[in-house]
Amino acid sequence: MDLAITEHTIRIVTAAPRQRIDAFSSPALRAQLDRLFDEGVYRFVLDLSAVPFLDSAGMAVLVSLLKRTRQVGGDVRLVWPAEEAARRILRLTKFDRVFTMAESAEAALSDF
Amino acid sequence: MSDIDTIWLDLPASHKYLNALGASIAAVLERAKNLDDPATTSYNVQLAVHEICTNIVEHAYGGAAGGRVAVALTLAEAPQRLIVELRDTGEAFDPADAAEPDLDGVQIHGYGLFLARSLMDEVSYRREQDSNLWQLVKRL
Repeated sequence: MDLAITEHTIRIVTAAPRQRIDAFSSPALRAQLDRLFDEGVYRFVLDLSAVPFLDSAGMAVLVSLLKRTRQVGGDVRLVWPAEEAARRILRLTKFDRVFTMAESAEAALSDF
Repeated sequence: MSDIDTIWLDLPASHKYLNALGASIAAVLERAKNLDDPATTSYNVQLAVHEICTNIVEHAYGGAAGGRVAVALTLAEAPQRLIVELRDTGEAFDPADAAEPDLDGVQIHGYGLFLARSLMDEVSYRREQDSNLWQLVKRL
């Protein structure tokens, strides 16, 4: 059997912030995500389930990463926040249509 | 409304203590009566005020150190509502800088004022001499 086998490994990183993502904390989050991107990670699951508060500065970090990853064929999947009020904000801004959303990190990973 | 129901905060114009503003709003709203959905109301008001305050830090003061933001939180009755006033002495606000976001596209900036207007019943701005005065009202 003349069989050429090539194995492909796709890197997917799950990042789960466990604090407020706001104008004060978002630069640190952005720096960590940018570092991963610069290391060649283009597929992210951002698990927001333990994020109690997300403002527009935090949302800017998510969109910025989404744009960068999609430009190189990657993507960012979001896990819904457990906080219902935060979920409503993602619906209000239609982020749930721009990003592929999942109920858990496992679900987001299996969908990649 | 009497001054006795007003809480005053004098914050440095930096992102560092925005959490103190949110905590104060949450504490005042705990004294409101018969809220339908206290958790969501508190979250929404905190986010709306937070966005205006962030705007002041970044645009009115342009990120420069030393500025202050004076905040008045008033729980008013008949009808019950929370009135939030923010005063700063930075550059005047230019509405032209605050276009509505395109919600059908993907954009990085432009959600702050949209969120504030969406989550509060009233958001108004006026320039008073050398100050900017924002007033946000949420009926409770």
